[in-house]
Amino acid sequence: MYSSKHITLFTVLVFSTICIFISSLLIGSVDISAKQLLHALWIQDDSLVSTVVLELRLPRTVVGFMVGAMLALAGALMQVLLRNPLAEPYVLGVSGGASAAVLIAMLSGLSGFWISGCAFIGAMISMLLVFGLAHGKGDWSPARLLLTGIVIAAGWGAVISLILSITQGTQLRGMLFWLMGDLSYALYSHWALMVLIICLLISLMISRNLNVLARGELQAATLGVSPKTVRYLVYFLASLLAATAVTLAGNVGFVGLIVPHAIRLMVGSDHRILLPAAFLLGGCLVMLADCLARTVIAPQQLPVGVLTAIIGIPVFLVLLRRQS
Amino acid sequence: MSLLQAKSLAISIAGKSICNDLNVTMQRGECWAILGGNGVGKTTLLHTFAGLRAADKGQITFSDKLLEHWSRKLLSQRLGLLLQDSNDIFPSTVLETVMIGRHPHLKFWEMESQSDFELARQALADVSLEDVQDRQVNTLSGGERRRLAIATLLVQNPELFLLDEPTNHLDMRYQIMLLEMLIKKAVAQDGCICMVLHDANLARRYSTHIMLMISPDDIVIGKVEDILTEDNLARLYRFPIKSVETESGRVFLPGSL
Repeated sequence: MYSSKHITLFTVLVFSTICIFISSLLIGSVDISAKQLLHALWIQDDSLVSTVVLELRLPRTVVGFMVGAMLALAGALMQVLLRNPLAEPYVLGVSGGASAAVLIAMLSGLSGFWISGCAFIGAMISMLLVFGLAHGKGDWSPARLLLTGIVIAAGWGAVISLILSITQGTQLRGMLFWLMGDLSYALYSHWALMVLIICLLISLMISRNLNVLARGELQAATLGVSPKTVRYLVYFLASLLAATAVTLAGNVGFVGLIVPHAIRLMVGSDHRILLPAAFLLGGCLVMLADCLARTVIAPQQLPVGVLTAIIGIPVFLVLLRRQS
Repeated sequence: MSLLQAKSLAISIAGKSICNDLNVTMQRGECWAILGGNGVGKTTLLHTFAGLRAADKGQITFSDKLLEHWSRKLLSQRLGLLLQDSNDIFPSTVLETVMIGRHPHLKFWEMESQSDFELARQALADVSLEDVQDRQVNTLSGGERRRLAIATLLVQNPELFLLDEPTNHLDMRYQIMLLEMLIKKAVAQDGCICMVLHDANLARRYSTHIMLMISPDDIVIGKVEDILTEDNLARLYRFPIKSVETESGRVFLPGSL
């Protein structure tokens, strides 16, 4: 049953999402008034304002929201899967695999669509590798999965360092931006939106199972949840979301770790509330960070991943203090 | 009609044999106590009865249907297991925790109804936790957490209650109060209790049947009055046991070597 606390939370989150979304369209290197914005959205001509809004800011803002929502959702799922509050979307090496593949692609001079393609393939290879190795013959305990993931992630880290150390000049800057998470070349795609919506719906459908699974596998099994099936599904959903987010915007850090915890601190761990709330808050945080990334030292841009951390950390610490 | 029946059951864990040829039938209205030394496999046996792990040989039927033919969900509506300990990693309130006991009874899209909340509040009242329903679970004491786990099982409302050391962490008053309450609930739905205990006196006081797990090939089963003797307990714990007749029945005491 939803309480008034939940209704307040969702009202605030939806309102913030709308406000940040609109602001994100208005501000940037060229300031646009609300009237111009409506005009641009309504009559899609080829004026400068229309081009800026429709071709640059709108896709970028939407992608920002999607990336944040995916990472927060993936983080919440990973934390249940591994029964570990420190888990985040990248902990099992998904982003490491994507990064290594992207850097190799950049080194070979590929760009644009190929970068996204490589990111996704790298993420999927890493996901299957961890799955296969952790599964082995024996049991698939959260601890074993976590250890396997961390070791594989460390391996990818070494590959990344190796590539960075042999790369020079301008290419290096592109690589670093990608690694820190960057929305400036983000391309909106329908399939990413589909992934997000489908994963959200499936995770909402199993959200009460997640409540039970969060209390341990034995407890889940005694309450009629088949832990193995739910775990496979959660692993797949979380990895797919993380892989898609990395494909869209590189390694945007921290969102997947702190957003689920921030929601837990505010309204508890019921996944029927936690998942949709994390979805919205994650989206808000990345959109907000991207607004700042574009404006703080405009016309120069900052990588959005740096700003998610700069905004996220103090907010999270305040919440944590208030709780104790 | 038997509620739980094991035939020629053989179980082992990590290469260690727990039982080699166990035959037992638990009927509705009975209360079973399983006694045994540390590490003899009481918990493993209970988990096997609950369908959480497979037996090496033999078969278990619940309500005259093989355990492996039950769907997890339907089984958990009728068979509940109180685990030896619970660990909660994520913050959660007492009421939220007790509500997960309703999980097997709800369809996947269903929210808990008002009547589910009534059941939950009643269960919390049964274990005297009604005043702390909004507290965080990690602020509870060990005994309070134990009572919360029992309340969760009450909310699950099974017919067969498998209890793994239900009196752990409980003070004397709650040991008696909660065991009596659990038995009353089981009797009310014509169910059955099967509990692992370390206290032979509680076993004597509340159970109708006893299983003594002495060794994998020596498991003594029978009615409480036939089985609970000084000699049997001494054999079970490999330690001298004395008994004293008191006005509230026979009491077993550890002797000295």
